Amino acid sequence: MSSGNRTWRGLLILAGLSILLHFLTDGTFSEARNLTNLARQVAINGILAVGMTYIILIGGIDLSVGSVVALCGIGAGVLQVKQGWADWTGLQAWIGALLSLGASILCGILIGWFNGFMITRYRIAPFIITLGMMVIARGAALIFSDGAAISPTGEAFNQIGQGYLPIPVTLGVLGVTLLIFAISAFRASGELRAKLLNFAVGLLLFCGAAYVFGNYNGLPYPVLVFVILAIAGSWILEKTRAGRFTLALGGNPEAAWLAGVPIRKLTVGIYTVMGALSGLSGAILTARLNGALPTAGELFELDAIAAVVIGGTSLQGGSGTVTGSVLGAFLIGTLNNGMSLMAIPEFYQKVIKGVIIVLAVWFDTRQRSAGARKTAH
Amino acid sequence: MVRAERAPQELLQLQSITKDFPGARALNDVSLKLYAGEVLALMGENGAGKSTLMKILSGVWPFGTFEGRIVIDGADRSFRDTHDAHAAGIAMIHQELALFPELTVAEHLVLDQLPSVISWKPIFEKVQKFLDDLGFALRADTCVKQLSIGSRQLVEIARALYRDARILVFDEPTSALSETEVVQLYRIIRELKAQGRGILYITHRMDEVFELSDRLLVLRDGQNAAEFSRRDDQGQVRARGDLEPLLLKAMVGREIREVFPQRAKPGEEVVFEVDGLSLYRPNGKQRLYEVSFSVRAGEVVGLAGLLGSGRSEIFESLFGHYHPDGPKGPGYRVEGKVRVGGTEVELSAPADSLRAGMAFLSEDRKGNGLMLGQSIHQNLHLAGSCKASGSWLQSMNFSQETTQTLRWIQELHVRCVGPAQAVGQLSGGNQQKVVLAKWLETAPRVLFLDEPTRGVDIGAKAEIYQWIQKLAQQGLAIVVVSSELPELLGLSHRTLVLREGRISAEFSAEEVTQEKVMGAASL
Repeated sequence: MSSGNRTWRGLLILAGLSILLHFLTDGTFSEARNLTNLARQVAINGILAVGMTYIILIGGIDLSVGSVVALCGIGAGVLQVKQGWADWTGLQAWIGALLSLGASILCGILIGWFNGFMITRYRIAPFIITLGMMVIARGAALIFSDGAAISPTGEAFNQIGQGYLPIPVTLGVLGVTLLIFAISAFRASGELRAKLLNFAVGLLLFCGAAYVFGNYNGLPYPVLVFVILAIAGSWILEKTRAGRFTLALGGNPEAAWLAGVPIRKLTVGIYTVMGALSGLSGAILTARLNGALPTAGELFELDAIAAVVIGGTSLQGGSGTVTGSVLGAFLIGTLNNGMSLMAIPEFYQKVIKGVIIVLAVWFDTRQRSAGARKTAH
Repeated sequence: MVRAERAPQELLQLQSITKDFPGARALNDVSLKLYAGEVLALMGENGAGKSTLMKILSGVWPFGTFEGRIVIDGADRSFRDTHDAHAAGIAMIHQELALFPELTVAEHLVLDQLPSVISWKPIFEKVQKFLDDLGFALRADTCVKQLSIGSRQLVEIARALYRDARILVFDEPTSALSETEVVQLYRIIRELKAQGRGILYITHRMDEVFELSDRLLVLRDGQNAAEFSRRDDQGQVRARGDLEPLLLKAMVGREIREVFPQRAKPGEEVVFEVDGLSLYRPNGKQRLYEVSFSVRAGEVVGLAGLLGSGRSEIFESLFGHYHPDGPKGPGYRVEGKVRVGGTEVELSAPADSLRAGMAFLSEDRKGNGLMLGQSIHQNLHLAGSCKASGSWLQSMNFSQETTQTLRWIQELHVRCVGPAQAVGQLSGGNQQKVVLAKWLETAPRVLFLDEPTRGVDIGAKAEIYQWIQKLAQQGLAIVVVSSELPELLGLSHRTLVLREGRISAEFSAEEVTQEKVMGAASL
């Protein structure tokens, strides 16, 4: 089954689930406010899933993500609260906010680089080193926070997690993006009918987004960041040499190495980017919650991995798409949101979610092996 | 008075088998009969449908996914899976052996009939006795990973016989065997035949066909192309010289006259030079001893030598295989100077060799030549992408690349559905062409070919030979390693013979003979 088909199927499932939830919640689900919140909740898992797609594509795994989110968030929190940057005013407050964000990302970069370095230099299995890092980073987060929440963070900083692009700007951005999408959709090779279909669905999605964000407060910043990263991640994977190297490394590491792929640089680079994205998510989460928690981000790595796997990326590496992971993140987010709206008790939510993840992947694998049987010689 | 010969018992009949894949008909009305006590050689180019036919016979493609009948001992069979085929007495001896390295020989034999509580001692004893009765030199308690390839094959055969399989399918069984192991295999096959079992023998090698087979069946493009008997109507064995041209013609669909194309005269310019190449193992032992040679533009140099003489190691040391990150792991040391086009180059990782203008088609295309799950396009442009300069995040020129892919598919006659098809679905010869195109796409000046025709059928072989000469004419410096001496001598302008990591002799095309090469190689 081609990746295009899978994208369609993912979109259909998402649409079906949304309609179902609309009726099950008497319309609460599809209110602009709820969908805006849903998008913001998805953003963090989505950002992590973009990075995790690359990690899994090269046949790796990163279990440290959730802990790194917490540690980097604590880093930003310490600067904001303990260093008193939260009390700064005017332009200084904005500079402080950006520096806190930068520090959080830098912290993630260092950890990600270290993971990649240990994997390539000392040939430690990614599972082991990132498992260790998961525990270490969690411990460090508890140490630097003395085991307690660090709050409140400053107004300016909180904008990172709570702010919105004003509605007119939101609509403008959506319009321009739609235009770019339309041009690239029609310039791509393929049948006219398929192009028109692509465009029609794209148009529908953009109109939906305009309706949702235009009827509430505008586009949340985390969603903006997520969308930009998703587009960049998808573009890099499909259109650049870096993407080709990534797929090659996952498909057959030995063949990739012998064809000249710089596997060390690539591996270290991908783990570093994963770290940076974890740092970014840590800052966004802290800003959304008005403060940093040492226990934040628990099981985020597994949510990200689930999004990637539901999105059709093979855990063996070498095949998968960023688009799939984005859809996977939305599917998980929609499910969480819907179950909360329906007031299903949290303990039961976990069970249902787990069952659905397993079913989704089982179904996908079955479809794919059936497809492979049909085409294999 | 001549007694009327008893009609041979028919073991297996495949009737009008037709198998479709999306976009391609793999088998079209193929029929086959196998009698007890005979060896039927199944021949045909890669992609002719042999593998698909065997997958149907062994239950990999279950009943209902194809048209036609499988008749065993006169009764129709419909296999749901490979177990049903086993139960019906069919055993495959695979080309790439399907064994578990950590399990013992005995465990392999009894694996599918183990009781829930196992007591190993009687099992080992029983299996040992079974092996001894067969005359196989195997110990029941050895781990398979400790066995040579030849012995592993014995394990597969023993496993088939332990299940009392009556129809044995050998898929290119000798491709990884040494001379003595081949002789042993022939002896065993003759015994199996004498016991009244039916043997289906798939091979590309003419020697084997004429050594073993009673009848020959040729497939071409998924159809029955021809059937020959080794004996004529009077019961006399037909001469190989008469039968071979007919066979070749049936396989390829045209007459192959000159397998080795004319060699053009090489140029004067020395393109590639290696000086004092030495290789040390992690334990300090030397593997190559100061190997030096040079190749001119348009020249094809053959490297001959026995298995383990260091032929492949020369290529591997020149192409970064012994880099600490490489497939062989850390600890190796390579010394020596390399000049490409007169300039000395520093070689460490494969990427360095690639940038210096070298390309290396390794002997293990599935292991380290291709990403089998990925498209022809992706595979074909990988090395080229690695050689290109500029930022990794620059957008690739997709339409130009696609044009190139299509051009290579056309020029090299790659049989495929299109550039997006996964290479794992292609036949061996076509996979080899994709690897060749991958390296040619990097516009190399020096080309190393390690066993370029391994597992490749005769038609594709001839095409690859022609390409080698064509590339030489374009001025490439080419070095070839091949275990098939006629091939090596037919291609090369010059032959270097290796013995125990040293160059022991050099022959020009005029003076070289197989005997001379073997003499210099073994001594």
